[in-house]
Amino acid sequence: MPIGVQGYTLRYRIHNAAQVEDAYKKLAAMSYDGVESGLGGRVMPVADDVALLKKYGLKVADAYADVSKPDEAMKHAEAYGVKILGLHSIPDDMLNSPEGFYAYAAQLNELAKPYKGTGFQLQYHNHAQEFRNFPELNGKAGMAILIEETDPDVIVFELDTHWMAAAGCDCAQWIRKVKGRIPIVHFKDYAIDYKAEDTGMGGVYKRYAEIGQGNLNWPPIVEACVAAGVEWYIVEQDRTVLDEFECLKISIDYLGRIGVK
Amino acid sequence: MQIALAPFTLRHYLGDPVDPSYKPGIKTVLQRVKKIGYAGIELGTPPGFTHQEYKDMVDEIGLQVVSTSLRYPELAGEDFSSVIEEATILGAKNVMVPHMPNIVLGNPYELGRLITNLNRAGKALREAGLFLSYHNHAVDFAQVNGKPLFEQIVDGTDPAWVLIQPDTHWLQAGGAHVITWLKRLKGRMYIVHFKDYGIDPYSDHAFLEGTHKQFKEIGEGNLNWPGILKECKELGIPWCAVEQDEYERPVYEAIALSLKNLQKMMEVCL
Repeated sequence: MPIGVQGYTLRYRIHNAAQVEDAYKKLAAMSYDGVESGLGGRVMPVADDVALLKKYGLKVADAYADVSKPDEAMKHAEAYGVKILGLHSIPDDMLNSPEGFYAYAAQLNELAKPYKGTGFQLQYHNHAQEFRNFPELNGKAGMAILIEETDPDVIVFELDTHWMAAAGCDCAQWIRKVKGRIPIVHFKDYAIDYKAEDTGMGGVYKRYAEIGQGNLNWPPIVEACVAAGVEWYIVEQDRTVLDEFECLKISIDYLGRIGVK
Repeated sequence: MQIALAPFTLRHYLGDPVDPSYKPGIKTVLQRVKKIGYAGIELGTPPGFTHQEYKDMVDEIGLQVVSTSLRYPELAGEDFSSVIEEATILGAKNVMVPHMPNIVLGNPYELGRLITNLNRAGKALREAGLFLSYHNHAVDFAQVNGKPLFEQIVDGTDPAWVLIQPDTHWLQAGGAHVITWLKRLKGRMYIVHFKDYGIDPYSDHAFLEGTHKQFKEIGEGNLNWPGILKECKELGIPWCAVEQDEYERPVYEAIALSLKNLQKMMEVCL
């Protein structure tokens, strides 16, 4: 299964075409198979970005475009050779009630209509915020509403391990819940700040970590991904202490050690 | 598995020993806990009571004292006779080490001392027929030399002398997989702290680090309870203790809801 990198990890390193090429070169040398969406989208024409990807033998997992304009969005995805288009997060003013989540699910279904039967899918990416527990529904999480109420043919979920853990979820359990609807998964480790100075309740900060360097238990997560039909593993690290490329190397080396390929 | 209540949940209701209504007040609180349906409590002798006086009161109410706790200076000391005396009079099987001392953080020498102290105290307590259990928080999952402190404590202490009392919420908050850790601690648990972990539905922060986690009634948050309960049953852990550090509902409603959800899930998944 291909392993890719989410460009957010490299956001300070891809300001111009030369930097994008340098990033591709480094990722290919570390034996990453690709990137989530093209890294060059903002600094060069799509055709140039695609040519660079080809030069370094890298593939793309998905693309971002204005999905309310289906023709243009599908054309953009096709240019990168992908069938999955990323969605925006649920708007802030819909987050505080079950009604908001139901209404957003309805919006997604409306948005999905022109894509139905085309082979294109729209992908929702979670953070911790979607796992709000509503007391009027016995603690049901907003995310469960989005999963249950959206069209399974078109709306898929790119679950993120770090944010599921941060929301109190058992990552493998949720990955299995969206079996067949999770073509891409985000791998991001979760660690506790080693500079923590308070043993009590507050004052303990989590941090992002290279895969295998935090506390998440990866083998059962990987097992769940295989069972759920995941097609791409995407490594992401929002903040790093070391050089970003060094971190990505640590991550892919760890995945290799536990037999992920 | 029998269900107890961790008294930290009720800390604001246990009163002030100088208040003339203090003792009857504690009795009322424990009577309510019993009436809600809890079988036990992890409360050692409250200030102002003799051990026997407190033991007579909980016997009359019909609550079992499951655990007492000890403070770090006691753990680091040589003489455990008063700790043993308290637990023995109360009929509590377990003595809990409530948290890691601050001094251990970032100090491998002190981590070594903690482990030595746990082994020594654990041996003394086991010889007196008691268990000593170490209780974790999230900070236990800070890594030193590539290994979480918690793992170093678990591996460094002798399973014959030292038990572990894991907390589901704090394992999760540490990024640890709850069920994996329960499996790993097989044979070393007398009681587990059950505390749910969820996201504040009304948080006005929508993104990334600003999203607020909450302590939740059991079953009202996101922890994988069916999986956790199955594992606890398989491992034959005798007790769990419901704990909720903060609550949105009135506290007695919160602990009643936790118990109701827990009993229902035990029926459904076990």
